Amino acid sequence: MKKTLIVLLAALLMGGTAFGQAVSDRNVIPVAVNLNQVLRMTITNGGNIEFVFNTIDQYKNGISGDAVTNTISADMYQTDFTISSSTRWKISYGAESATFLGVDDPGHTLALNNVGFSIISNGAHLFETTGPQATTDTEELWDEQQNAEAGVDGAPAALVQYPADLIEDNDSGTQANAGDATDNDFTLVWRCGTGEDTNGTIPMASESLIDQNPSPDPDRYVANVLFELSVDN
Amino acid sequence: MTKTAFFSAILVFAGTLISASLAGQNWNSARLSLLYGGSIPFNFNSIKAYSEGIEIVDGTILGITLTDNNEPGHDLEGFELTFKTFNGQTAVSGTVNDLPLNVIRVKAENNLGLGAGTTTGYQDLDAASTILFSYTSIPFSDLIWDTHQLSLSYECGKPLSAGGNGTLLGKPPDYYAVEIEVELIPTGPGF
Repeated sequence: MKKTLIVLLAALLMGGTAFGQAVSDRNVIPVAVNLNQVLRMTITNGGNIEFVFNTIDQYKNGISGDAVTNTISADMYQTDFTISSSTRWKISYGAESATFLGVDDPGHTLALNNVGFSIISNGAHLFETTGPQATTDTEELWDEQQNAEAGVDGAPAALVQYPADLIEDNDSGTQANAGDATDNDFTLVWRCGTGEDTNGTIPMASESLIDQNPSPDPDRYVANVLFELSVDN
Repeated sequence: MTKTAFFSAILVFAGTLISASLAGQNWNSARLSLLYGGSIPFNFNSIKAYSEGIEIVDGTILGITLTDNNEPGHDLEGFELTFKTFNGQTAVSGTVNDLPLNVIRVKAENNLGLGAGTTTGYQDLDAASTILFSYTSIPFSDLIWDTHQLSLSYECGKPLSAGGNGTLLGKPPDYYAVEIEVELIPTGPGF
């Protein structure tokens, strides 16, 4: 019995000690962040480009969206598109076929490099202008793709067969090219038969349509140009 | 078991209960009651959400219970509410990738009966404790959970221009999770 009383006394003391501390209380709240991927390309203008050659002057000099001074006419040779992406992205593009094909006579072909384009950035994000990766300029978010670089430098690139990289992320460690349509807003300015062959990588055909040998057969030549937006990790 | 041993056991058990009861009444106590918002989801499913971030206002309501037992040497004057990641987590963990903790920010404000307290505004989530709210009242009047409540607001992926730590644009899609521990700490001389 004596031993029991000692144990009881110890229990009393321990209880007092355990509750003698200042008490704080805690709760745990789980927080979840669910990042769903958003990847969307929207062509806002110029989903169908058509060059109509009906004067000798056009056969000699070609038709160019850059050369047209009338704004309404210029829109006829421009493709405007925007990208909304939550992740780093790139665009591949290219003609569906190896050449333009005649509508009236499928045997008629026209080389793709008679058509070319320059590219303009209208949004907050810019192309790199110098060096392989302008990581110090967080706004220069697109790598110097050969076509894009050519467009930025003013030397239009020739249309090529799909797939070819058009625009991609510059792999900057500090900022991605992801953004909304106001960040990623582009214009492709198309031309045909202009003989602009100064692009060092993918030049357009040197000869105007009137000087080519053999001369292109009169026809309506068409080719679908495909664009694919994808994640660029 | 002999009769003596049986009664001894009964006495020990009763003694322990009595001591706990007495001590519980003699000392200050603090209780956090989670009344609403025990789980906080951020769903990023539009470019707008990515660009502007997501804020969940009053996502959690906490009831505060704090009693002063007038124990000499322990003068209860108020409390602080702190928060940090649970178990020392150093990142918001996804399946493959992680996000830095400071993509999430938390703010505590008076929801009921604690208007005299002071909020520190939105604070970055961190592995170390950060004060969200402090309350002092001299002399101290007991606080009860149903009449004294705090609300927690959360934001995630807010741009720098909105006071955040940057958007989540460019972050890999994944399901990221972190646990936040909030702690109610009595304050005053002796605490």
